[in-house]
Amino acid sequence: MWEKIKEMLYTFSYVTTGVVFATAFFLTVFKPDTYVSINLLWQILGISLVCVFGNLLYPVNKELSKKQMCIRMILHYLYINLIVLECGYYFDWFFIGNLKMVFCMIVLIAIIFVVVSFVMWNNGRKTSRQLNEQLKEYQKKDL
Amino acid sequence: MKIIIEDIDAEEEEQIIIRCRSVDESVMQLINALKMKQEKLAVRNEDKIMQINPQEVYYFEAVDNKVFLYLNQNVYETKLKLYEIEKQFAGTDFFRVSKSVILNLAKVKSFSPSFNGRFEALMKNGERVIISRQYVPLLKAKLGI
Repeated sequence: MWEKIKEMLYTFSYVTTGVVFATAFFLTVFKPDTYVSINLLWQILGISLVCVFGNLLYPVNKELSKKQMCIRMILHYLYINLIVLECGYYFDWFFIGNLKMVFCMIVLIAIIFVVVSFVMWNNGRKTSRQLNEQLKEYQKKDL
Repeated sequence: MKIIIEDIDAEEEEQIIIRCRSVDESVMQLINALKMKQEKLAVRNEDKIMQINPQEVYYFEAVDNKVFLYLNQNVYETKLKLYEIEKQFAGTDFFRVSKSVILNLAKVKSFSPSFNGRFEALMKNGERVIISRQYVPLLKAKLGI
């Protein structure tokens, strides 16, 4: 359980960072003259938090096959799209009639999803490096 | 440390006596290594029963209520349950990495990250075994991280 909470907190920090970058980019392109309201910060934090609940699609105690994992990743991606687009529309981040804005939003969501997934995978790579170093030591001892 | 080897008669039972001040990690390693060498696994090969040296096993896998052991190239079925194997080889190189797999750490070539917090063990014979994420902290502890 603690592992899951830790993982969700890490994801929250990555997602929030990604959303801040995406928001900065989005505002610079589409609303360069806008003053940012304090509400936007809460909206970013709130949306990031709700997005992080998508991690619950990967249960800790259940073993998933590669196929199940792929299906869950797709569902996770769709869940994030649904949350961000729905909330973005509700908070007037974009106008549904402006296809350019909607398209940009979808592209930014995809970029953040890929970047966050890469960061998580890279953390795993660091862990595997550690494991490999220790494995060598372990196997040396065995001899 | 002194090593004493005594010749005994053919009818006498062979024995190893460890004389030490305390049973520390290195003594436990020695005991586990001896245990691994001594124990044999009975496996079914078609209609025959064979004895396998546990050190030759790459990993055990439970599939549909049957337990198989994987050697470099061959696969055999064993009557033992996975929890019995885990108990029997506790403290040795055998380590549970998922609900259905116990692998031999001595036969692992390397680890690599897989999807979503899971890892993959590349075995020395080229096979790949998934390590569930709930077993990763235990694996780290086993390897001293």
